[in-house]
Amino acid sequence: MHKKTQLTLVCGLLVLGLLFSACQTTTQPTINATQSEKVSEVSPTEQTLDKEAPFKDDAYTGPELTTKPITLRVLRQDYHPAQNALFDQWSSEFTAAHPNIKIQIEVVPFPELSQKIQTSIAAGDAPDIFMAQDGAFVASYVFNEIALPMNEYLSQDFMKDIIPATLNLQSVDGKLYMMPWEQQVLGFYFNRDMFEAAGVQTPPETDDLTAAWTWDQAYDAWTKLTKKSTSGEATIYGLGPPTFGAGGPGSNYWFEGVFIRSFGDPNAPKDSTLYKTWAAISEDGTTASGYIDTPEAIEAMKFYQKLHSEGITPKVGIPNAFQDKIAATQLLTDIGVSRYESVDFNWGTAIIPKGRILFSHGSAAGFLVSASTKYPAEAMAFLTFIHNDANRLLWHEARGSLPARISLYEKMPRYKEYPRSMLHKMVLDYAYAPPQTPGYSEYKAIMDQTIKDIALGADPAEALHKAAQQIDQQLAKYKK
Amino acid sequence: MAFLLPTLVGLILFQYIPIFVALNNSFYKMSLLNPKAAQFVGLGNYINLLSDTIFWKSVVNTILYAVGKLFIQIPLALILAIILNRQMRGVGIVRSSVFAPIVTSGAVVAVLWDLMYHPDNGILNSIFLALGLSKQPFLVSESQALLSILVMGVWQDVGFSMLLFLGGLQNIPSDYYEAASIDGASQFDKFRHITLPLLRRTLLLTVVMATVFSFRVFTPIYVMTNGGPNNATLLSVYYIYQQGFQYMSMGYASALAVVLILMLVIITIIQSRIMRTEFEY
Repeated sequence: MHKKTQLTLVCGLLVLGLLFSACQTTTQPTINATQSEKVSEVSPTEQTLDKEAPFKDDAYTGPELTTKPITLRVLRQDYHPAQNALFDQWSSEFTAAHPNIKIQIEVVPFPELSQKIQTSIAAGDAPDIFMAQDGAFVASYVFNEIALPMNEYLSQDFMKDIIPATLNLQSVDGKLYMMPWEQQVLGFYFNRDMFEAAGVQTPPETDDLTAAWTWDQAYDAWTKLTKKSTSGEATIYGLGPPTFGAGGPGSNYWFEGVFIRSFGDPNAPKDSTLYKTWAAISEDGTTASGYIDTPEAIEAMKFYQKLHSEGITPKVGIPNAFQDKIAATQLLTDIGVSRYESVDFNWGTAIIPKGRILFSHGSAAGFLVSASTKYPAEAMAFLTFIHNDANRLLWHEARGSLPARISLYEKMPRYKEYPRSMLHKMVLDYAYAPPQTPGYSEYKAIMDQTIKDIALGADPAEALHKAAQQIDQQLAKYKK
Repeated sequence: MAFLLPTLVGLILFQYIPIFVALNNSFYKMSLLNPKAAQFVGLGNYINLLSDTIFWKSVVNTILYAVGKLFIQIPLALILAIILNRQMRGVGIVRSSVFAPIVTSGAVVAVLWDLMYHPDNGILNSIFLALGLSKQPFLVSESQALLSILVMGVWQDVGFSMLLFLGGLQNIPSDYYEAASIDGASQFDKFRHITLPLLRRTLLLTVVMATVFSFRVFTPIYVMTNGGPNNATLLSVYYIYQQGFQYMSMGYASALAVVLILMLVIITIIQSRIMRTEFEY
């Protein structure tokens, strides 16, 4: 073969190879609260899995399962390898007990879950079981008639054991639609060494939630902790940026909405702006005007904007800012207690700072059964299996997340020890559901963009009023 | 015909059928979560679109981006092609380096440039400071964000335009240049009277493709800015995505997509008319 032709062929193959590799999903897995957790070793006192009876404590009360060969398709988010391995284990155990039922699991990155669900349903190819990014999406799935009510498949004991806030969020009209997979609340993580070096008192590390710092106290600490070079760029931030997705302001309302809602008060009269600021949406879930653009909300967002304009927190995402000692503190879910175990500095966990009230969003991802599934009983049987006590304990050990069932806290001694004891109390007393609306996707998308615009300098009042109008316009389609 | 069949089938399945489905969907109010509950609204989506200021803002942004890209990318690609259209040591490596960004994943490129554009710790601002210039906000500034995306876009796509020009240049018979040299023509004369006219078809192709690619931009916006700050980088395709997948209005998103396609067709026709040529070699 002519040399030039050989060279052309080799180059062509090289280009093709590059093209194929470019066509694959090379998107960096987005940093989210589900990745990079250190796997905790299961302590002997907490290991309750009885290998001979993996189905012990199953809450399934539905009909007999089919004996015909079927495949149950499950769509879930990607997790840390050790957590993914649990799903493989559960699938094997379930299939061992029900040889006719094959479990086929599809895994997608967390930020792509919602989109994947939409496209699967639109294609008429909905999985039997799917994972929602958050319990806040349950209302939307129920409105669109794609989720199966679960009550008839679950024992009363199981239902009563679900944390009330979780049960409330994941139910519609008294029917549960999403299993209590786990619960999340925000913690306030701080670099103890940096506080000591700056001569700043650390926030209180206590189960007494009334001792939480206020946002003003946190701000005072942050200003002293923030360091800048002679040319003005920050070398140390007082507060790290949100870590969801690409990070930075506006990456997830679940994190940043606390700045707004903590300036409200659930105990104020229902027609007051204080109450509405806390509520963040009307009771029927279709109106945001008068709820997200209240004087209190504007005040909150002015404070939030100040953190960015003064360089206390960055205007863009910085991966691993806290772990890399670029940020002195970090707001993160309870996952942080496990995630930060491997850092090379002294750190602590405190209660999230409070506004007028102590506030954290309290919700998490979880599993639903598709309304169009041909195998509802089998799907529920699999879900109740992975949600039984033994498997829940395995899961929470591996992931470090908070249980969404009351009794599980009693079965895990570590929730009696600080800081998990504090986070447990937050879940019970100060974790509030995200705004409940069938249009949560629209609400969140608009709020994310608005919060980002405010962080980058937009007038808070103008931005919030505009957002309220946009949200109202989008949610009009859900009015009855 | 047999040779064309696979391409034709692919075009029909992956291009034409989706366009007709989108056209059909544009007459409905529908959500992907419950397509069976779709409501026929006739031209309702198109009427709403006329008063959608955010959509028209996205169209303006997209046109600005496309025009900016054409004015920077096309001349730059032509210059690169002329420089690299000669036999010299290392020319293959240089050509490959210019072309390499095209075959790199758009998401990876976006993440890298996002880090480079970091207002405090990015490498670009570090270089600026080292040169005694002031730091720039780049993506966090309403006035700079779109330009920052544009620069990244030119960096990524100039190689493709260069490749098209290179092919065009190499197809011009050298006899014309030799004859011009004999007649005493300068380099500029040769470029103006030989190269440019005979490159007109290639130029048309390059301009049309660059325009289409500009109108299709999505990944940098999704990864880097989400359309902000304050809709400064909101481009049409991203707005369509928002409507369809975040705002659960696939019917409206389809109407936006149909309008965008029509705009692109009109622009392409205008470009073809302006740049048509009678020159052949």
